[in-house]
Amino acid sequence: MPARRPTKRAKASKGPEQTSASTGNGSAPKETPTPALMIIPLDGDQLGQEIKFYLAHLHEWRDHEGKHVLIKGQEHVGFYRTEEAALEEGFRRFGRVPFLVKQILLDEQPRPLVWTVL
Amino acid sequence: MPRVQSKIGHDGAIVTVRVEIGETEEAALRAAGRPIPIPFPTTALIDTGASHTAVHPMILTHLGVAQTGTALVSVPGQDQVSLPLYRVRISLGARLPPFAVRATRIIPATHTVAVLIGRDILADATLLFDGENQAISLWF
Repeated sequence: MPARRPTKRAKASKGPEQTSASTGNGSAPKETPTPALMIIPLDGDQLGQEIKFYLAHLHEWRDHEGKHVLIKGQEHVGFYRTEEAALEEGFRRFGRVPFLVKQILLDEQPRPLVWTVL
Repeated sequence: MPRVQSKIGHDGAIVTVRVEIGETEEAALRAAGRPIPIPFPTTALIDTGASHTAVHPMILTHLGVAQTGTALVSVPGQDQVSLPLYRVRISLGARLPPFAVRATRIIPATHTVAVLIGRDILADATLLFDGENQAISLWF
């Protein structure tokens, strides 16, 4: 019988919502790294526009690294401390339609795709 | 310690699961007084090679889950691609609370399974693959 280990269960903690919910971009960046990324939306990806917007503005959001940004179309709704808070706001504003909630990571490394995605 | 037991079938380590919408999405539906989609029972393959849990598009469509995320992935011979992610919960038995995951959508190579259980769920599990007895056990 395997030894007991602490389990990290699904129920994500609901932290306090980050206050900013405006379309401000935060402080101006001191430098502008250009991650020459060419993102190709896979078939069925309904958030191609949002991910392009995210990547285009990522360098401006240095001060918000680690927080979760809510984006719909070309609109940046706000930054949130937790993913759940961003999702709550997204469903409240937009309903059950595609919108992007993504943690701001300045140095996000792509993962290898290991399965066939249709 | 909750334990899930199942058999090793023709396609590998198969377990019965239920797929349901994410907790936040369900709360939004409740707040709006709208009906909650009934969890979708199906079969899943334990896939230790998959970083993300993956769900058949038919199930995502049935539940009406909205795409709310992407993951950047690299594909050999191509630039980076954005992989659609969907917040859902996967239940692996009555004694375990559901796992909230950011699942991607795929059509598995075999018709007998509609979900691939990836390492996001297996991260806290101990898996015993008993090939001699054609059985698996998962402890969480």
